[in-house]
Amino acid sequence: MADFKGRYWLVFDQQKAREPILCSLARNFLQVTFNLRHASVSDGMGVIALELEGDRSDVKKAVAWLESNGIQVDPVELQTIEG
Amino acid sequence: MESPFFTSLKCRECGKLYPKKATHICEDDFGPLECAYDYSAISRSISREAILSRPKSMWRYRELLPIDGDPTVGVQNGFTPLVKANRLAKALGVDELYIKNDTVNYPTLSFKDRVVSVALSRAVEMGFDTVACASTGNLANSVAAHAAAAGLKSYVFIPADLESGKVLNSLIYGTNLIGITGAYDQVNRLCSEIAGKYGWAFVNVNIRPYYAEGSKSIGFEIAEQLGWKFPAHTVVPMASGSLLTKVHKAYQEFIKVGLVPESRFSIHGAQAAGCSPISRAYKENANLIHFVKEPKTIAKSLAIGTPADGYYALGSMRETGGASEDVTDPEIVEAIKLLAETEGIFTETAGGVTLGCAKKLIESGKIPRNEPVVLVITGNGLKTQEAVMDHIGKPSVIKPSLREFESLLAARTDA
Repeated sequence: MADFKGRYWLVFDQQKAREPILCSLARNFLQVTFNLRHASVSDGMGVIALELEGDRSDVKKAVAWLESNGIQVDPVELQTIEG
Repeated sequence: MESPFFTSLKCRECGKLYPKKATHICEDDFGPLECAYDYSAISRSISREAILSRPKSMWRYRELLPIDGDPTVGVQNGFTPLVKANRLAKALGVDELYIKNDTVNYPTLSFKDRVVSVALSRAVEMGFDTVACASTGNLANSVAAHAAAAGLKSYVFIPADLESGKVLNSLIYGTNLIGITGAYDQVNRLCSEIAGKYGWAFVNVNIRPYYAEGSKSIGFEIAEQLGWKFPAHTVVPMASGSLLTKVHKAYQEFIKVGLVPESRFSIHGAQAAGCSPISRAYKENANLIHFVKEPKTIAKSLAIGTPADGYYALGSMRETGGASEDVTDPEIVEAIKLLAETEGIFTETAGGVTLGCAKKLIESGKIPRNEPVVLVITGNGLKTQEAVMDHIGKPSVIKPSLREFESLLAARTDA
């Protein structure tokens, strides 16, 4: 059941920018819908704003898969924990 | 009644306007939302005389703070001393130096009492009965204390391995304190998820636009306490970078509403070397922030590896001709001791970062020695005693004998 929506910043180095990460994400997680909101590559790093929607456990697996592929995944708030 | 001054929320990226609700991210591009005001209406209403006639608290600038009615939480917060620091000025070799001393901010001894006062006053206006935050220290203490005083339910999330002293400073207020185990990234994402799922006012998430505005009161107070003018240089510690951008916004707003004439000011940023993503980007002349996965510094209140306002802090420093510096842990400890020994002010580690970086900025000429400087010191040293405990020596112990005392005194005089 598609009951969960997560909004994330994906951060990666320039090398990763050449890899078809989002295409692979789509193929590996057919049950997760993603919506691209913003993307940029400069200063040696790439940033993507991505909304993921689907079953909570599937979204979690998709996030874990992105991380296992060397992508840093942060909530859109970035740091929710302050000093 | 709706405020005639505070009008809406606005996306900092695309400028789209949003109603004044508990929301913080632009639905289109995920840009952060901030509070927008009708400055023409404010300039017709506000005056130095009106401000001077009000109680000495951060709320004397209420037209420029984002609530509709009267403040209800933390009404007496702020208006901390601006100390003319002559002995420290001499030690640093500058002509005119001031300390904005938020080590004595009421009630939990850090600048967080300002932001929490605004966040919870607004939360009460919006009808929330439960407030929450995720924090490793000052914010947790402040939310717990203010929620207790306001009769609100509160949930405070902390990493499970937080030191016992910091846990005590929140638990004493009767908050629901929840330790979360696991890697930092996971804890962070869980807190974001909790904030989205429950109908609570999560101070640094869904009501962040209001919360962040409280920091402006430091800038307002500095300008008023200097005699309605800006210091040529203001040095501000950076964690998320929010405080620095808000001091900038405060100075700009005082010009816009006619309280201070247009004049030059530079705002400089300070970070700890063990977690300096904003300072690094500044020094590399970059716009994108390289996030720090594992911060390693004694300045834990500044150890934010993914600073939400880093990009905007870079913009503020560059626009005002400011600069950024960073200092090592030993330099932080030395600076804490220097401030204590010259001015009698005991700061937490973040204040050591600010002073340590100011020293470097002065030595490198980025802050000229003949121009006025204000250091923003944001928290009390009693909160981070462990950082300096091994660096300040021990008391001399003698028997109850005058002879022993006199020989000790002689030894010290000879030394």
